[in-house]
Amino acid sequence: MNVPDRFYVAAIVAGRELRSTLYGLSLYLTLSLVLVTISYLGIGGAFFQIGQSGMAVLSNPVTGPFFLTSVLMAIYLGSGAALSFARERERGTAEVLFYGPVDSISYVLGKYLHSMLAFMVVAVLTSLYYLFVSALTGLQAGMNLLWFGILAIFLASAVIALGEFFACFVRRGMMAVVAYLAVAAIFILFSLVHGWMISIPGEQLSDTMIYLRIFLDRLDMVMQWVSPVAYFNRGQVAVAHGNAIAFGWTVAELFVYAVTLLACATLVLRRRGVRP
Amino acid sequence: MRWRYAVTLLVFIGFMAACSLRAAAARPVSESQVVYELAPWTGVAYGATFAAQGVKDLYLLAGTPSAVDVARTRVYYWPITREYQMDWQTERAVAPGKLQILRGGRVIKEVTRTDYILRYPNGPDTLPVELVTGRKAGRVYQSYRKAVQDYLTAVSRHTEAQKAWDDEMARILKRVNESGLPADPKTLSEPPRQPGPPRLFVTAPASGFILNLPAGDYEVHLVDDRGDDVPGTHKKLHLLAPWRTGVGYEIMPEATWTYPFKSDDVDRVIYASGARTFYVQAFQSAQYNVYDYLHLLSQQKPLQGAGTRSGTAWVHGQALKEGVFLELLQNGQVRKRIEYRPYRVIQTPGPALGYNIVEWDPKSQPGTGPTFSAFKVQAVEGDGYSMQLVNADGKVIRGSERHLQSVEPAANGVIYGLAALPMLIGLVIAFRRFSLRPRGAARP
Amino acid sequence: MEVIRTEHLSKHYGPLLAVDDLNLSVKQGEIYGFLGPNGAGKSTTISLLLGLIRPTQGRALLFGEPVREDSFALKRRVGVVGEYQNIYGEMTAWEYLLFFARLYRVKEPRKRAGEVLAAVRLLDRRNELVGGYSKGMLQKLSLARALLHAPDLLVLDEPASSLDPYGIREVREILKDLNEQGKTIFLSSHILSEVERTCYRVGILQKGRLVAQGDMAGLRRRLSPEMHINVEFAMPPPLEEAALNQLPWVKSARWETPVQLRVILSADQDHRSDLLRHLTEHGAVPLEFNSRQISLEEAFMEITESNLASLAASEGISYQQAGRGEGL
Repeated sequence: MNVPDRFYVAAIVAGRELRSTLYGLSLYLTLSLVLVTISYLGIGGAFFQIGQSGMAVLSNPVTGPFFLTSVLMAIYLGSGAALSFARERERGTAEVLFYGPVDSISYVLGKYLHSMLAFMVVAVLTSLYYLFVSALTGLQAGMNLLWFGILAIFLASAVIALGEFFACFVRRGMMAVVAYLAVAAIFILFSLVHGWMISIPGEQLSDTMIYLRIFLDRLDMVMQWVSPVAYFNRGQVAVAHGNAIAFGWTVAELFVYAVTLLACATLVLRRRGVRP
Repeated sequence: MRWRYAVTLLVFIGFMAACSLRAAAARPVSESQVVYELAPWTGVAYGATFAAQGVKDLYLLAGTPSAVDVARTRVYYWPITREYQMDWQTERAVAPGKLQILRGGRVIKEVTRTDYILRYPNGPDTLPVELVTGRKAGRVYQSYRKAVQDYLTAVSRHTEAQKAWDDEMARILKRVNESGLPADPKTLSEPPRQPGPPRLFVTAPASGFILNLPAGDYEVHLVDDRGDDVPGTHKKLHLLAPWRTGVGYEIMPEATWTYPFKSDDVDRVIYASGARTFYVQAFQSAQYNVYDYLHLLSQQKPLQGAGTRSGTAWVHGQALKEGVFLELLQNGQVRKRIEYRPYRVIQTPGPALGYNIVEWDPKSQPGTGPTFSAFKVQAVEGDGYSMQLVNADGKVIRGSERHLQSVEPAANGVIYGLAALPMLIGLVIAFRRFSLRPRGAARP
Repeated sequence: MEVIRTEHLSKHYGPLLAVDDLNLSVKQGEIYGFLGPNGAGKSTTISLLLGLIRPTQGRALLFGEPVREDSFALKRRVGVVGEYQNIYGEMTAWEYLLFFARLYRVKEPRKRAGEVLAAVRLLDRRNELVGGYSKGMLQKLSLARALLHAPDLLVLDEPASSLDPYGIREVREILKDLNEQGKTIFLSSHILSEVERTCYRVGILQKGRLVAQGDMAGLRRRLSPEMHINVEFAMPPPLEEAALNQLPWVKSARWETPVQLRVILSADQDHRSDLLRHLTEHGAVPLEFNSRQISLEEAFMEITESNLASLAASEGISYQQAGRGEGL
C-alpha cells in the first residue's frame, strides 16, 4: 500500500472515530468540567489577587488557563486514544478493519489523526471561550494565545502519541488508560516535586533531601527528553520570553517525540498483531 | 515479579543511606590547602568567597572585572552550615606565580598579580562600586585616606570649636544670671557646624589576579616563577552571562505599599481594578541559572545550589533612579513623564488606623527622612496604558516596557455558564443519538 | 485456479503450536468447509490467511500471491465475516456500511449499501443504532459488510453461531446465490450439519493440523458412521434385546422403555430397511421410526486417528498423519 492510500485510509478511520467522539457526551462533559475548574482556579484566582490590593502583576492570566485547559484536554484525549486503541483490539473491531485496507501504519495514523482532530475542535472551543472571557474581564489574552495554541497542538500530538504507544502493550482498554494515566501522573508529579525542591533554599534542606534533590536533578536530564511535561515547561518559557528559536526547537522536538512514539507503536502493533 | 519491586526498593533505600552516610562522614578536620580566594562581581556587589581544593569549578560573571587570588591556608569543613571554612590565623601564605587561563587546552591569557581596591563613591555597601587596580588603586586609596584624615582633623577642630562655643555660652549664661539682664543677641555667635563624613569609601588595598573575560568555559591554574604548575590549582572556570537582561520593577500599590509586586519580565502585565495609584522602583535586572549563580555567590558551600541546574532566577542590580524617567503612555502616546521622588508614609492618628503617602519635603518636614523613593503613577484607569523607562535623552531603556490593564471582575455566572455550554451541546447530541436506538424488540 | 493455498503454514504462540504445517488448497468457485472443534486452530488459520498475524513458518497465498498485513490489492478481493460480531455499537447500520464503503472505495456507496442491506433483510432497520441489534442482526450486518465491496472470496468464521434456524437458512441461501455468481466461499465451522448442507469440499483441522481434506459426502459418511435409530411401538412387542444384539448389522440395541427401542446400526451400508423388515416379521408395528444425526463435536469425541486413516483410504481423500499418535 502506498503513502497516499495509507493517508486516505487513515483519514477515513479518523473521520469515523471523530464522528463517534463528537456524537458522544464524554468529550463535551470533560471539556466543561475542565473549563469550569481552570476558570475557577485561573480566572477566579487572578481576580482574587486583584481584589486583595486592587491590583496585581500577572504574566498570563488568560493564556495560562487556556494552555492548561489545552494540556488537560490533551491528556484526556491521550487517555481516550489509549482506551480506544486497546478497546478496539479487545472487542475485535480493529480486526475487522484489518480484514480490509487497514494496516498497522494507517491504523496508528488514523487513531492519531482522530485524536488530533478532536483536539482541534477542543482548541477552537477553548480559544473562543477564553477570548470571550478576556473581552468580558479585561484580562489580556494577546498574541501569546496564538503561540500557546501552536505549542498546545504539538504538545497534544506528543501526549496522544504517548497514549497510543502505551495502548500497544496491553489488550484491555481500562488497563491502557490506567497505565497511561499512571505514567502521565508520574511525569507531572516529577515536574512539580522537582520544581518545588529547586525553589527551596539549600540551607533549609537536610543532607538527605539535598542528595534527593541531586538525584531528581540528574533524573531531570532524562525527563527533559522523555517527559512531555518537560517540553511543556520549555515551550512555556520560550513563549513567555518571546524566544522564537527556543520555541521552534521545542516544537520540532515535540514533533520528533510524537513521530518516534507513533513509529514504535506501529512496530509493536505489527509485531503483536491486532487480534484480541 | 514481587522480588523485582523489593530489589528496586532496596536499591533506592541503599542510595539514600549512602547519601546520608557520605554527608555524615564529613568531619571538621582542618588541613593545609591551596585555595582560590575570590571577590566576584555578582551583578549587585563584590562578594567574598573561596574555593577549597575539593571544589573543581570556579564561577565569575562575564564582561566585568573580578578579583581572584591563590593562597595556602588551613581549610576545614563545617557540617553544621555545610560549608568549607578557612583558618586565616593559623596559616596564610600567598602562592606566588602567574595565573594562566586556558581554553580548549591552549593558554589564552597569563595574568600577573596586581593591587586593587574597591571604590564606593556613595559610601560603603552602596552602589555603584568600582574595582580600581594598579597604581591608580594606590592613589585612590591614598586620597581616601587623606579624605578620612581631613575628616578626622575637621572633627577634632569641630570638637575644639564646640568646646570653645560651649564655654562662651556658659560665660554669657553666668553673666546673665549674675546681672539679671538679658544678653544682647548680637553678641551670641552661631554654634560651629559639624563636619560631614566623606561619602567616598575605599577598601584596603589587596593583591590578586583581575579577570575580565567573555562568557564561556575556561580552565585556570597557577604557574610559579619557574613556569611550573602549582599543584592543586587546576580548576574549571565558568564565566557566566545572564540568560536575559532587562528592567525589573517593584510595584507598591498605594493601598498596600508594604506588599510590593515584582515584575521582572516584559510579559508581566500590571492589572488594576478601578483607578489605582501605585509607586514604582526600577532596577537593572538579569536572569541567571540558579545553580551557577549560587555557586558564584558562595563557592565555599558545595551543596548550595545542588539539584538546581534547571532553574533560573532574576537578580536585581543597581536601582534605576538618577537620570531616568518613567513614562506613562496611552495607546503609544506619552501622557506623562514621571520623576523619581522621595515619599513619606504618615500614619493617620485616631481609630482609622490608616496612612497617607505624601511627597517628602525636607523644608516642610524638618527632622524627618523619606520612607522610600519611587516613581509615582497616579490614578490610572482605562485601556491602552503602558509604562516604560527612558533616560535623559528620552531613549527607552530596553526591557522596561510594561502594560497596565484595567480590569472589571465579570459575573461568575456568565463565565461558568459559558464553560458549561459544551456540556449542553453534548447532552443535546447524545439525546439525539440515543433516540436512534431500536425501540421495539430486536428481530433477527 | 487456486484461490487459497497454504504451504507448510505454521504458527507458534510460545510453546503452543496453533497451526502445524498446514497445506491447504481451495479452488475458485468452491464452497470450502473448514471443520474442526473449538481450539483446533481455525481462527488462527484464517488470521494467517488474511495476514493479520505472521506465520512462524511457511506461507499463505491468496489468488496466487503471498499475503501481508498491507496487501490491500488482495484484501480488496476478500470479504470476511469474523467469529464475533465486532461492530461499532454507536453507529447506525447505514453509517457503518457507508464507513466501510468509503474505506474500500466502493463506487456509489449509498446504492451498494442499500443493496447489501436489502440482501440481508436489514434495510428497514438501517437508521437504528447497531448497539441495540440482536446477535443475529449483527451477524447479518457483518455479512452485509463483507459483501459490500463485491469480493471474489468470502471467508466466514462460524457464520451460523449466533443465528436461529431461520437466519441460518437465510445465510445459506445467500451463500448459495453468491456461489452461483462464481464467488469462492471459505466457511469455517464446527457444526457438521451446516457445513454438509452448504459446502462441496471440506478440510478437517485437529490440534492445528489438517487431518483430512476431501469432498463432503464421503466425509460425512465417515464422520458419522453409525446410524442411531429410535423406534416407538403402540404396545410392548415380543422382541428380546439379546436377540436383536445377535443380528450382524446391529451394533447395539437397548430398550429404553417397554415401548421404546434404541438401535445403533452398522455403517457398512444402510440397514434401516433391514431393521424395519425384522421388526414387522416379529409382529412389532412401529408407531415412529426415526434416525438421529450426531453433531460434529460428538463425532470428534468418538473419532480416532485410525478411523480417519481408514476414511482417507476408503474415500481417496488426502490424509496427513496427525502427529503424536493421539486420538483425534
